[in-house]
Amino acid sequence: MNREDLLRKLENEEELSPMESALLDAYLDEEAGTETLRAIQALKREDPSFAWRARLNERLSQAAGRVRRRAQRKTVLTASTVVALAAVSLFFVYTGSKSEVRETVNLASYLYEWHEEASAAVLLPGTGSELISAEGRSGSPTRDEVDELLFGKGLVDPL
Amino acid sequence: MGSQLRAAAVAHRSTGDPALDGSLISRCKNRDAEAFSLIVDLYQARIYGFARRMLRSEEDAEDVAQEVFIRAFQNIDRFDGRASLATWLFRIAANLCIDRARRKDRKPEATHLEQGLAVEATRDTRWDPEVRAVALEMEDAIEATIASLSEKLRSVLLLHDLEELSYEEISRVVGIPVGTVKSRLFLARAHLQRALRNYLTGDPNL
Repeated sequence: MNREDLLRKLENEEELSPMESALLDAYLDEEAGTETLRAIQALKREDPSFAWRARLNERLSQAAGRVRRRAQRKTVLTASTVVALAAVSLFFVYTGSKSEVRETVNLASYLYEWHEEASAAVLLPGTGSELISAEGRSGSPTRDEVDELLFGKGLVDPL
Repeated sequence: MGSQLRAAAVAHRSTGDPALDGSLISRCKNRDAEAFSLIVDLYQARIYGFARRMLRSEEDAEDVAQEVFIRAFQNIDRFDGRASLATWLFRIAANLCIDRARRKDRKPEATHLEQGLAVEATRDTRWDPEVRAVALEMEDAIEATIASLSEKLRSVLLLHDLEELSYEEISRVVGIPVGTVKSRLFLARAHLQRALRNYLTGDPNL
């Protein structure tokens, strides 16, 4: 296959075989030092005008301002989010521990109340003659003693 | 930064230096405005030249070249260094040129090899005693021929033969397979060789 055949095939957008692809590579390498290529490479490069550059600098400084403001907004937003999260966490930690304390206090007061009621129950009914002070005892009253105090000795065992 | 880096940047314009590009990019990521200004210094002629030849309107080329640098500045944090800085900038430029051409509905028609040329390249000026005049004329002829190429062929030819990007880099810039890059380059050169046959005598492929 010669160069013209390859060109025609490429112009018709036909698929190249591996051999034709290798041939294409060879032709491209061969062209590397040609006058055409040198002529293209010799095309002059022009810098854009100073006015263009001044306009670009102005736009860049505006863009830099926008970028800076965006970064500041991001920082403020991040900081406030962190503060808000910390506040929410603290609130939950605080209210959580407080409710535990309250529960503990409630349980303690409940136990205390229960104890008071139980003591009152032991002290109030009774015959009057055998009044036992709970405060004066070292241990808790036994079931028999409580029954005796509640219902009276005479009632339980009249004989 | 200062004068040392600026001197290196001036040398870079002709040779290209990936290490300098890398250093400038890391400075830009730290919001160093002077570093970005150096990047503009290094690439403005190449980007503007590419846009100028792709769009053929000075005004459009200037707009596109500005937009390339503005977008690069705004997105420098996203530049991951997998491609070279030149590839990245040319990719932005190529996309903007295509968008601009489509928006203005100025997409040029592909010229067939057999169609011949509408440029003045057919005039035989080989015997013109004014060598400089011939050179200038040839330059005009080359520019006109490049402008007559389809957008697809033109971008590949400019990126490879003028900007000296590799096939792989062009593949990334234009978003086509390497094989297609080679095919388009071959077609573009063939078109150019035919158009310039009266100017170029020593070319074996004419």
